[in-house]
Amino acid sequence: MNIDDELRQAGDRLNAKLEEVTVPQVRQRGTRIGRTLAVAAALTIMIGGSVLWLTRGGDDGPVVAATSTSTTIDGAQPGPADEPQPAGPMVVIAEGTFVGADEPWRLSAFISEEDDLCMRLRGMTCGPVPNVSNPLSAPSGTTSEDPSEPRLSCAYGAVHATVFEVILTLSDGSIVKPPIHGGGDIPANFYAYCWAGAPNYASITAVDANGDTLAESTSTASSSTTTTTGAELPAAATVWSIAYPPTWHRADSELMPNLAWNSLTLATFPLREGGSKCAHMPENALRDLSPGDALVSIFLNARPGIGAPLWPEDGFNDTVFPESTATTDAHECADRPDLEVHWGLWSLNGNGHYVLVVFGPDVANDRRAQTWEILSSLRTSETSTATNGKLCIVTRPPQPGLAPPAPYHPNPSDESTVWYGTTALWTPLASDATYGPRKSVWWSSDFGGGADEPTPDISVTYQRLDAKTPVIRSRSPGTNANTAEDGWFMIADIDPEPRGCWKVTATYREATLSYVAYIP
Amino acid sequence: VTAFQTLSELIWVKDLPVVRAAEDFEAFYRREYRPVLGLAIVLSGNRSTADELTQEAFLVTLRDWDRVGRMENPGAWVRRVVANGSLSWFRRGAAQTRAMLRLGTSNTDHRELDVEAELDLWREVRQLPRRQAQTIALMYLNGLSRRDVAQVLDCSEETVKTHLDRAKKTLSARLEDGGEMS
Repeated sequence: MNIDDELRQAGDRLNAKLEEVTVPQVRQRGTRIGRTLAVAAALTIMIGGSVLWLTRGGDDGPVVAATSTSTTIDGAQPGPADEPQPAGPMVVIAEGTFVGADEPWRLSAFISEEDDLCMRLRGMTCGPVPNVSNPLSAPSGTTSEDPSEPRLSCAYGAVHATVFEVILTLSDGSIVKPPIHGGGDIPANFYAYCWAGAPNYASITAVDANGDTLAESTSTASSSTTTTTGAELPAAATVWSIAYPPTWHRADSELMPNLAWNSLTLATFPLREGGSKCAHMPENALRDLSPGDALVSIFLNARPGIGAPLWPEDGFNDTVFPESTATTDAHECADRPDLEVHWGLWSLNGNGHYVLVVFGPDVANDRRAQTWEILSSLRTSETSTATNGKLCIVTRPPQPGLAPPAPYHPNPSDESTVWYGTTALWTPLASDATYGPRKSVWWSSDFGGGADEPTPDISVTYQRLDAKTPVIRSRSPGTNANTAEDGWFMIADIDPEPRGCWKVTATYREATLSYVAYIP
Repeated sequence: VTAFQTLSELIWVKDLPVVRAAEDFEAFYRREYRPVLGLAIVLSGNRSTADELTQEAFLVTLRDWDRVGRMENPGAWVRRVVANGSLSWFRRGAAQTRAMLRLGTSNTDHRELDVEAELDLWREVRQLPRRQAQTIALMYLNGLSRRDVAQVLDCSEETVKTHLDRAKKTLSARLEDGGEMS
């Protein structure tokens, strides 16, 4: 059969299937919605002046579409006249304050008894909106496309031209060059909604490959810049832990620096941050992924967990979390159609966490199993709250821990800990990932003891992950120590006191070992 | 401004010539819903996303029906909205999320249309360059002529022919490599 016939038959088959689809009804607003709306899974997004109201009933229910206007949106304020007010508790998803402006913004959701979700967004607009003439296609609102994402300052638009880049010059003079999707003979969409806390843009410019300006628009500088709450780790910090082998590479939110969510990425290869195309994917890391490699990214508290499948109690595997059948952002952002991508939203402790698992085309089965095991090990001991605040995802040592070579004891003398690391460099970590007062102690099979190396050249750094503070470094070469139970080991000259989320990295000769700990 | 209203703003939908009095939207909608949904399914590869894209496309159309309804080919216009919308991960991501929030608890769609069983060949189509994939879907699923496809894609009939020839050549090669695809 030739391709022409194949395509015709495929078209006929799908069209026959489509005949079975019930065409939803369309009604103008004013139709009595009643019970239909009460049982509908409704999502309403209202921003500023006008309101578009779209609900969908059950499988056999009608679609109701209407437009209306509303001047003020408030989390507790009724919507259009015939809108039933959700009865459930209100959950504040994110909130912040416009610097220099009276209006705070708050994103909240009502959860009704029927598990309906109704999101309300207040004050999400980010100041004056420029009217941009062609070929920029009027970005008529600087609003968040997806209000459950705690992004504060937003711009988007479409460029109907072959553009090379779009430049947003912010009112403080800084420049943002948002990723462009499309281009060439299709409209290029651009959007830059990831600069939490940044001011409005002062101008927007599209340039072609020669650097010539295609279009430019300037807006009036506004004082209504934005800021976030919870930039510092809150007092009741949510501490997560995850178990992974020390041979895996770890990156936290710095891997996707323009993404507002807290993220953790673990991979079997060194992780290169950033990317030129997508802010929301570990683009460069995915480009570097070799055929036998694996990568896990977790975007914590990305949205409410309502509607998402529960984090599997028995752990993840290929069946529980199957490969995405469609082309995903991971494929497109990294230009890697060969990747096996598992992408989805999962609910844990009431919050929704996006999970990205990527395998190279030749990944070994044991590495695949190890990847699922790592993902399954994510834990938190308390109910977390959705917040813009930083989270701390600490390292929990895999069980059983490292078995160091003779003559070292297979287990640390402190029974609440296990060895973590490689035979080139290891240290004890608490089995439950808690952190107590401790010295910075390290073992290595390359360390011959105090007689050979009285001041071992071990260096240790403590880097805050939840705040921008200077890196704390060990002050001098280490010292040697010995106990009957633990043998020869090294002590680094460093004792960090401040509470917070710390990435601890030790280097001795050619070996490096890192872990993340939360110091209460 | 609402999130749903941004489709025509985010995605450039160039107007088609206005030539006639608007027909009844309801009739247009009933006639075009299924083929437009089919197009969205093929191009997005996901039923929930396709539902979203289709609904939003018709919603945008309804809002502008006074203008769109008088175009020479409103069907081409709504298909252009869907074709462009399915290209944008931005839209797709948001639509999938909303669909997930609204429609249920699973990352996997198990609804009435057994899409997966029908998508083997269409999955191959979706791997083609975008214009080629759109051309194949519009011709073999929606049954559009080259002229109509050119109108949807806002290009010449000659360009449509080029897309079509290249797409069929690629698919034929894959068919030979992988055996029966459908």
